[in-house]
Amino acid sequence: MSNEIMNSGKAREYFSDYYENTLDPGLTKGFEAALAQNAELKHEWKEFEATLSSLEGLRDIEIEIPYGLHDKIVARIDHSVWEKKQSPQTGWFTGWWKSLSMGAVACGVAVVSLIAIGNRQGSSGYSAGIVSGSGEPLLARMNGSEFQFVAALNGEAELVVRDVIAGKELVRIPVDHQRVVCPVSSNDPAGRVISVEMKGSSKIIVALPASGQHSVTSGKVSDFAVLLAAKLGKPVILERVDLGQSASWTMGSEAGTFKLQSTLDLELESRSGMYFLVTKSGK
Amino acid sequence: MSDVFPDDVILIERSQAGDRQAFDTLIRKHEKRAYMYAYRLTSNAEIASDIVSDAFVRIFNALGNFRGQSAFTTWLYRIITNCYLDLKKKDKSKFQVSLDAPVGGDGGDAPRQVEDPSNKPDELSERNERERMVQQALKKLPEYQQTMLTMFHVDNLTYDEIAEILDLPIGTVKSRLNRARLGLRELLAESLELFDLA
Repeated sequence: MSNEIMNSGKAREYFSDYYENTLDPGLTKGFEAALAQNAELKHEWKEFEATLSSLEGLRDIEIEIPYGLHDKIVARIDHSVWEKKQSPQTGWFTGWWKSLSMGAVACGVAVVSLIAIGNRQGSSGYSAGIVSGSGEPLLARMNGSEFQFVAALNGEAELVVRDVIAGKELVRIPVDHQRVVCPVSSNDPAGRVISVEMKGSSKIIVALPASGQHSVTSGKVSDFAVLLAAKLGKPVILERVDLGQSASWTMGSEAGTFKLQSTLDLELESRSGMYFLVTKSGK
Repeated sequence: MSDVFPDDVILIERSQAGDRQAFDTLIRKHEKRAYMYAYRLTSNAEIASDIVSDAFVRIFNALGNFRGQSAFTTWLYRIITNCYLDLKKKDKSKFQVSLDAPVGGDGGDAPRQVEDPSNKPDELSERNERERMVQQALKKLPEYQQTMLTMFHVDNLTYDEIAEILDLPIGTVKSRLNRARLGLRELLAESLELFDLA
């Protein structure tokens, strides 16, 4: 068989092997003899070669990666995590999230806003994580090195960001039937404690790292929180913490270690790569 | 400047332990390649990014099942391929909109052509036309043939990798790929004046 001239059908079966040079020598001879004797087959073979060559030419076509692809992927994952947490729940809350998700797919729009706090010169090496009050349409998360809030509402509302220590409103962002991603940065030497709230959602309070005055050892719990965030190099989410309470503390040499006066019952927790300062008695 | 990323195995182990930053890095490391593959299958930017997003969600939710027996990229290709096939099943008409998207158009969906100074303008336009026809012919093939041809000839995957991605024996992959190539040649046969058959 190996030295016989093969028929056209058989030869076509070997087009790929011959193209890839993986046909054994005997079959190669038979294949080449078939091409030599059959002009039509030879033409088909030439077309076959040209087809594959053009197909491989598609490698050279530059494909532009859409801006915001990464955000879209992360947002889908966050939403999936959130949905999983909601799965035992039913009712209007689940309903609007689903309709929102469908709406987002249909229009493919994500509004990106930037909350600039302080002079926004530096960026911190924050770690990733998800913070979600259960059932909340407002999430805090790390997206790479960026700390963000993500809000979504199938209705009209506003995302309100306040400086908790200064007691003033920093920014208001409309969340009207859309998904809003708000990167947050702060390079305020004194650090910041901000609250973010939206109708229908629990308030999220976050201490953003201080860049100076690390030697301070007493003040309010809010001062301690921003120093702790600075030590950790990441924002710290505050849960059930009385920020106005007086406190004195000693920071340990290792990041995240500290000693508070005995009357304060605070604990540092790490969940999903983010830090939480929690009042133990409130757990 | 290209990014330097840690090894997939390390990133996956850390992701499995709940480290979202590690998973984020894993996404950053592979999202471009994933998108390009999805785009080559769909020729539609929005659908391609939906497919990639869904693929990463599936991966995130199945991280615990990944045992590292195959490369992460193999897993990623498998999931993107499945997402694409699922989507095709759900809504074929949606894809047809993009099939005739003009190459180099302003719609944002068409791929850009890389400028090649070695080609004269008429050669370039001939090449572009040829590529456009190949893309259109690819879309007319059955989906599994299209994915195979794209993986092998455009994304440069090996038979072994494709066999693993599609969960098929290598012999089956080879014979199906040969059929797909013959099918593509037949589809292109009418426009072969654009091919240099010398």
